[in-house]
Amino acid sequence: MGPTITRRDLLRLAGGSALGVIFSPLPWKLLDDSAIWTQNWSLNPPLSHAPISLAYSTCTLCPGGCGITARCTGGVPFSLTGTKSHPVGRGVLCAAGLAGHQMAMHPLRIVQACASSGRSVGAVISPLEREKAIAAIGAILNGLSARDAPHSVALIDRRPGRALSAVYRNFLSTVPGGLYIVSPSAEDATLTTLQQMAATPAWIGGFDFEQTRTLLSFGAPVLEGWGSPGQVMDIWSKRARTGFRLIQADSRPSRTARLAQTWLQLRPGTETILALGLGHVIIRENLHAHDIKRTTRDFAEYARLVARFDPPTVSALCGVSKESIEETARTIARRPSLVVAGTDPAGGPLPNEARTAIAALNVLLGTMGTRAGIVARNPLPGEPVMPPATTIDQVPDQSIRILIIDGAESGYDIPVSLLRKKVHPQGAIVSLSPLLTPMTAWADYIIPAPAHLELLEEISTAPGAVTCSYALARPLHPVREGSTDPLDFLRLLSAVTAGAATTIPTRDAMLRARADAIHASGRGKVFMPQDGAWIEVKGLATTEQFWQKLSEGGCWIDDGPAQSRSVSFSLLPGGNDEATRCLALLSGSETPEGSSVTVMPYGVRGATASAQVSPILSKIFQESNLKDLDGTALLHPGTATSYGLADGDSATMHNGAGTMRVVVRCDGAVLPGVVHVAAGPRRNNSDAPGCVGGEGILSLCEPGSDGTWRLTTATIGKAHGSEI
Amino acid sequence: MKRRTLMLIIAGVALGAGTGWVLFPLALYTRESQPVNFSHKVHTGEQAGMTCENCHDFTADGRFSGIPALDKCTGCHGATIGSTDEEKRFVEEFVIPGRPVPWRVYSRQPDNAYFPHAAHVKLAGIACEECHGPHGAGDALPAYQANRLTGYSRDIWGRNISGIPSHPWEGMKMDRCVRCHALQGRTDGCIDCHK
Amino acid sequence: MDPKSEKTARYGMVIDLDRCTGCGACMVACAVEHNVPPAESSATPRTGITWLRVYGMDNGPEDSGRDTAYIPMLCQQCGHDTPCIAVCPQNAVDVDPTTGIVGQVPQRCLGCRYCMTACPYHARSFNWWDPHWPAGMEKTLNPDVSPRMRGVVEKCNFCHARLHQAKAKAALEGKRDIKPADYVPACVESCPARAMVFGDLNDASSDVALAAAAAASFQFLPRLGTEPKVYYRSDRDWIRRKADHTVHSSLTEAEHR
Repeated sequence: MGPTITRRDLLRLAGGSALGVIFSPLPWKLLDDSAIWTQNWSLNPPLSHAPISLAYSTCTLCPGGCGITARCTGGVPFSLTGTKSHPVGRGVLCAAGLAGHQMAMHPLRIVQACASSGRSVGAVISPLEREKAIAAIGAILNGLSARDAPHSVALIDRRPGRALSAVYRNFLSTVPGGLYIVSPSAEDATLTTLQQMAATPAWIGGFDFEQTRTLLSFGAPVLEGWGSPGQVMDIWSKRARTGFRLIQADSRPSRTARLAQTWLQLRPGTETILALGLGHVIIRENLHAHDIKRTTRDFAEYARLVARFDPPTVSALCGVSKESIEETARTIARRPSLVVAGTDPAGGPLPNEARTAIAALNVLLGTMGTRAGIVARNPLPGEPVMPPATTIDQVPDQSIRILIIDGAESGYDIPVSLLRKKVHPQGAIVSLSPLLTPMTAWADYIIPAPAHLELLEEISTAPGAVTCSYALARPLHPVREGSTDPLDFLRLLSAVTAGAATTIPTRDAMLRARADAIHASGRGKVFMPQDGAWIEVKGLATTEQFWQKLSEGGCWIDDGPAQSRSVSFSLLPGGNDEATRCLALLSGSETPEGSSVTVMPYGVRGATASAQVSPILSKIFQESNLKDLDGTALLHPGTATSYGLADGDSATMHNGAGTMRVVVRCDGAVLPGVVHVAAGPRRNNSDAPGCVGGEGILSLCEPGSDGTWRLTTATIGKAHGSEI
Repeated sequence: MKRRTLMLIIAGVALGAGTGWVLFPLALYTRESQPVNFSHKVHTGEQAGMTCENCHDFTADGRFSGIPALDKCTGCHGATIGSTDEEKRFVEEFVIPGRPVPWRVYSRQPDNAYFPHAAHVKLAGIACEECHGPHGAGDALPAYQANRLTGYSRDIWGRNISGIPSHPWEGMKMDRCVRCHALQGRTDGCIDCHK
Repeated sequence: MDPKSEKTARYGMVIDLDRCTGCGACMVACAVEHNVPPAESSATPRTGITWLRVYGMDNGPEDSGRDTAYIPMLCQQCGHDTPCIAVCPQNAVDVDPTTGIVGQVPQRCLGCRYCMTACPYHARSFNWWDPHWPAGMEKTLNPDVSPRMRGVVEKCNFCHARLHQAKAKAALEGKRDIKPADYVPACVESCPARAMVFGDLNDASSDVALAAAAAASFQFLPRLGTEPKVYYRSDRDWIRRKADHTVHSSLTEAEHR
């Protein structure tokens, strides 16, 4: 038998090999390794092994100014918490602020100057060299002459009161028809109104809220990110002990209204009537301050006006019972109490006469300048006294040649239709937003600013605070290449503009100048987040030492409120015209005709309102029913039925301004015939994750003669198939 | 005939076993050298006299730093202090540009395993060598071998492919944790060691 | 070393429903802490991942005396007959004997979701999608918590990674028992209204034990006998009634009114 290899031989060899392999580690190890392999899901990102450190900064998503303690790994922040015992933030952050470290990685982030092919639907946005974009804007600017004034160059500042705001204003003063505009929701409505009513123009007030026992709020989102949220939450959570009482006058079943001890659900647009009605009861029952004739200049005229607003009349117009009106007037007359006006950011400002009627109640009750009332506060040292800013409704139509929209927060609270109306057809819109939101996409040029927590920023006094504060927001991320500091944008623009002679400071110099002024005043003390220690400013010998403390995350707080000076106020600053406008309200507003409903937009953006939010906020907007997604329409079940709609239905709303698709949500707490439509984060999706709708419901809102877009009418009906 | 069959089977067994014992580990693991040939021996013992905890230390919050970050090295090696070429290269390539050294970690566990050094070293009093072996006396760093299937270091399974440790410190798989914890009479939940 | 020297804790929580304003900060803090990814585009309240979810609840009557409460619902850490453990075929859930925390090991989980069905509190979430973060955001993951893969169930574990850290810190000082201030879950830490109290229920002098023993505190669905370690408190009777509301109890509740 020769050495022929048969098939059988090979099988024997293979059988032997199999046996050999079984007695080797190979199969057992492979089994174990494959099991481990299945656990190593390649889509699970690897975790950092870098050292853990703490960093301190300040949140700049809203003007609240809460202290941030960031846990970082390898210098990258992975978790934010409120800085313990922080004097402004009180150790807490809101839902939006807690995810603030993710804003720099927001999927909508743009880090490249862009230009749009037009403002129509389907316009294409393409990258453009930054210098070319600025040269193009400069060319428009150079082409302007005094003839194009009054308002050729306008800038909307989303967070007034910054050192940057002063630079913006300086720049605008050097260009033809420069106009400085602030968002209606950027300032506290009550205090700015009182400022207009005060005889002393430079008067600045704050709420001595801590001691207040009754707060009557006309639509202010008190428990949803109003004033300094940490302080409000603190006061709210201690109410069982302190007896703090919240009375909310609101048409919408907002969270604040639902939680308030008393909710006065008034008919849409009747705030003025209710406020004057309360004034009526206060005067009738002699509940007003005894020195009212001394602190006001037109008490007699006011008394004559409110005499017409007796409880039965007011009750019939507002839908609030006569007894509730009288009871509320008596409750707020038992001081310490405060009356505030406000609105959520998308809701649009209250009309002027509503704001004065509400603010006047404070004067009437004598809460002005008293403990637990509205007290004067010192201005921030070094803060230049500036004339009041303009609001967008005061600008003539088609008068703006260049509109620059500041990127702060990148939130939206002005209807695009309104902006569109104010800008000249050949005008250019420049957005400084770091995020490509639908509204940014509408601009002609985008020069994106660095994102939240990327740039050394500052934050001063929170709206409504009685003492000034100042803190730096230390960057937690490096600035992404391609983004442009708004200061650099102004500098580059000045360089290509013929007339602009202003020098734009560097960011460091701009902020140091403010810090130096505070240090020079010798007032106040600095809170240090590392150990909770307080350092007297007087104890810091040099301005450099003060700057160092601020850079480490310190928060400067002024000494107590300003010395109380007696200021007199006008209860009807608009005089006879205002009284006439108020009296006209008594004839009642016409109810929407036919199949129309009253539409009220409302904003739901994180807990504090006006900023864009991280996609992780989907937990509260999309993955639970806690808050409403953009385009949620709240209807009374009866109203829904009468339009053939049911909970969860897709519906179309339409009026002269536009058409919008909404999702119906029935809520028995909504007034019949009223639809509240949410403007807020949209559903996460790959194109625009978590972005706040740019137009949405605001596209249906057209500002009326009173400069507000709180109320509008539209038809509503079941959506069919592919309708937009 | 019978003899030939037996021979063939024995040859097969040898072939199979050889594959499993010798070729398989060669195929399963990659071999990478460390970016710097660090000598523990030079730093410890009689030479520089440092202990493990001088470099592999704890932070104040109880975390173990593992392989020290570059600044720990820079503390002494801000400039070349020895005479070796390797140190000179280390200073030039990493210290001066401030580039972190991309060390490969022999004992890196999966992300879902949690091992508190503080509890084992400070409370249980386990010496470093009991788990990490006497590498503190080694003059050269062994090649880092990664499992091609799982991506983990060979030292987790142990150098011996059979899984039977040739030294008591070899192997860092869960069974080893469990065995020791059982001997201590500990009652643990899953999440005590998993995160 | 004697392992028995380690104190046996029973961690629990008391949530004051009269303080909660439903702001959602706890939900965001929780998701950030535990590396829960943002929602996929088609995710809904049914399919999303929330270890802690705040529900809004009305007292019912729509015309007068309307009252609203917000209920943060997380794993109730059932201390007796823990329903999810009984049904798990994989031994992927267990009660930690030294802390009382109900632990879930996602790596053991095969995704059958029996536990989700068994949980009376709907406190468990299933990963319907691969975890996905927008580009760059994966750098902001918490290094103390491993991300989970598609197809497994996850739930609250009282921020167990924070307990790990607190224990490591204590161990460094040679101690077995942690300082209570070192172990605070993310939701408790983040609550702007300070509505949550957390701690060891075995420690009779702790804030949480005192709050849990107070007259106004209650548990959800106590009749099931699962002995949750998460307590709630409210001075409002209607909330307490709803907390024990089941299909069978609706009759008695109607009578109650």
